[in-house]
Amino acid sequence: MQDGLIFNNNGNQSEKKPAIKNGVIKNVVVGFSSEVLFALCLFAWLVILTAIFFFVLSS
Amino acid sequence: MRRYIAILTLAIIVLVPQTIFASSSPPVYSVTDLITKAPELDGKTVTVRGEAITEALERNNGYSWVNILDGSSAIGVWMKNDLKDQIKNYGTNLVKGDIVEITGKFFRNDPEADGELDLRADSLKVVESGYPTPEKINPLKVIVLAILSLVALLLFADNIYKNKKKTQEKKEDFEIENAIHEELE
Amino acid sequence: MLRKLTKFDFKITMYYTGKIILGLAFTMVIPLIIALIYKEFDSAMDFIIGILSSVIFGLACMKFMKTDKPPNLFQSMIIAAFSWIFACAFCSIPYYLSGHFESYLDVYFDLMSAFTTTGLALIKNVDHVSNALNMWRHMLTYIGGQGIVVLALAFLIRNTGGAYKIMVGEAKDESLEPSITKTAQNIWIISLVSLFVGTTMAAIAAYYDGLSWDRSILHGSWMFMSAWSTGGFAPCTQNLSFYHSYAFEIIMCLYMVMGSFNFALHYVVWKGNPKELLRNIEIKTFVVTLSITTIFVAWGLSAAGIFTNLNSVLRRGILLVISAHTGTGQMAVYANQLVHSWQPLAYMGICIAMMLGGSAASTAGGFKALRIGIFFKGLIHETKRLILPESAVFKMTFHHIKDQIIESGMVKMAGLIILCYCFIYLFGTVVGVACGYPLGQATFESISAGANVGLTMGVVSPSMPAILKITYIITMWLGRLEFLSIFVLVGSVGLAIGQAFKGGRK
Repeated sequence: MQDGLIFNNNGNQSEKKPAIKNGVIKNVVVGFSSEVLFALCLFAWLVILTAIFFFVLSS
Repeated sequence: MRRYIAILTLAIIVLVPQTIFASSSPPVYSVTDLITKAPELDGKTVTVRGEAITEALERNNGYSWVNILDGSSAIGVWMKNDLKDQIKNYGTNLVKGDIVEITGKFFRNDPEADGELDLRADSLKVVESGYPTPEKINPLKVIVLAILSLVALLLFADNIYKNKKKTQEKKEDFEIENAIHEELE
Repeated sequence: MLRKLTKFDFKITMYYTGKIILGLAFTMVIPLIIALIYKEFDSAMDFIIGILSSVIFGLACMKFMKTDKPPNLFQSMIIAAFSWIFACAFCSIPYYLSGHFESYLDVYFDLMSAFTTTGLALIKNVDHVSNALNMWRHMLTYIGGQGIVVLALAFLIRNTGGAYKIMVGEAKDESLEPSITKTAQNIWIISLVSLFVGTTMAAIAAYYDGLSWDRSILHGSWMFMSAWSTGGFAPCTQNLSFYHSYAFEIIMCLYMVMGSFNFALHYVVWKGNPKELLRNIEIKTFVVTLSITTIFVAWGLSAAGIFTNLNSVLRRGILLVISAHTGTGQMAVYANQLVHSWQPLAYMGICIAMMLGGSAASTAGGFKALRIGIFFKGLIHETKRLILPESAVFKMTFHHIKDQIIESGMVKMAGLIILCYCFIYLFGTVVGVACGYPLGQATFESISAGANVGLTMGVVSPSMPAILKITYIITMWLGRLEFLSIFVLVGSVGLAIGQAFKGGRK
């Protein structure tokens, strides 16, 4: 409900434009891959859960 | 007596082919039937008739997936590549695909295909050959298009005309201003 | 008192609506190009007609309603409502002309389903639909999805209640914040980067598993758009099981999960703060609820005894849980299979997952993780307050982008919205049962529509009664825009009509 931060951050962005230009691509790569990594970890956790409840508890 | 013979021959004509066909080929099921009656039909040999759609998905091990559509439902069929090669046309919006009759073992959750409901084909027969169905342009659409483009052209022309007028006015203004400046100097 | 609507309000609304429709005309160029490449001349005609009529409407609006002023918050709300209606009308042109629909109601159903990123479809003979129309269907979920997010963020800029109070109650003429444009840009950057990477990944997987290269790019981009905007459309009747590909399914799951994240979260993570992923209340809630529903389904399927190996359960069951929980609706099992061979426990797990939904300010539907998190924290807070002595002072915080204190207003708001969702689930179920469908199927389908999921147990088909189609259209719309904004929009439109009548009498 309070997603306001996006807007607050935007104000600062324009001031230091030349400085961050190089860092943007790096940030995007880091951000994207960390999300992918997180999702893959989540899947691994789900596989473990499924295995436990499918085999161990049912037998 | 004649009547009896007539009835007998009729009975033979009606019944014999049925028994022969019943013994030679398994019954034809619709895909929806296969899905709803999956528990009873699991592991049995069945025949499915439908249109091969989109494309065959060829895998590395000499087998392919072909998806067969009959009316509302579609099913994946796992078959050897030489069976797949009999199919020439696959259904898309521009092609009517080959209608094929596939006999094979039905699986409700095929362990080799990670639990998929599928068919492993033993034999395949192309019943009807497909053909290209290129899109034809509807003349009514052409008329609508012509009217619409006329209206759009008028709007554009109006815009351009107005823009020209504006720039001309600006030019005139500029010239007048220049004249005033010159006079002042 | 409510603010009076003026002629200028109408003028500015039409002006900006025209602009939006003109923008939409440009997006129709992409399917047109696809149609020309694949020699689908009739579809190309459909799109040219669509483009021309949108251009004419847009130009006419911009010509006759010209203003230079930016809209204020109240006007921009009406612009949202108007452009929604007109966008639906113009987007439906290629749909309707394609001849793949039985009636205009079906076209409208599919459009609403696309714009709300639901994924229920009434289109007939999907496998023989032109590439151009397929492109258009999936682009609409993608565009509609991101547009909705912009709208959601614009509304969520203040504490949810506040914005409405300003708008409806005091009617201050507050100018639309310029940072919303900036936010929209950020959302589009995130979406486009993901589109590029995701399409590439999906296309490689599809190509590796046997599709020809051009079709794998097309199908890859379509399925990506469907997963990322948590839509659920597919270019084939069999949906995800058409591809028979484990890799493809994993990639789709990946983008379903990423698509269900809050865009504010994406933004923070992409600005170089990946640790936010581990601290965010929505992610925590999502992981917990996803785990619980996974347990339900795994246990239920093991009790049903239909699957024998782990991969089967993962690809048929857990994929469905992820698809349901993120509000996507791609499925790798048949609708009828769910009815005929799934255990009630597994079925219930899927239903609960659908109800809960993904994150706020994303394309996912349902209650949203943020609300569930706040609601439960509020519940704990209240219990603590009752147990501890009255003099004890403590506050409860949660972490979403920054640490925030839970106020009772927030909890109330979360509870109210959750209640509203329950109401539309119930409403859809009642209508479904009244139309003669079994309770289980009616419930499933109703939740699927209300939570913008798009999974189906076979109720949604061109042959279902018109009243049910209309019910689902309404529940999809309400569920997507989260009630309050619709109430405001309906209110302002009603106001406009009322004033038009008043003006007429004078």
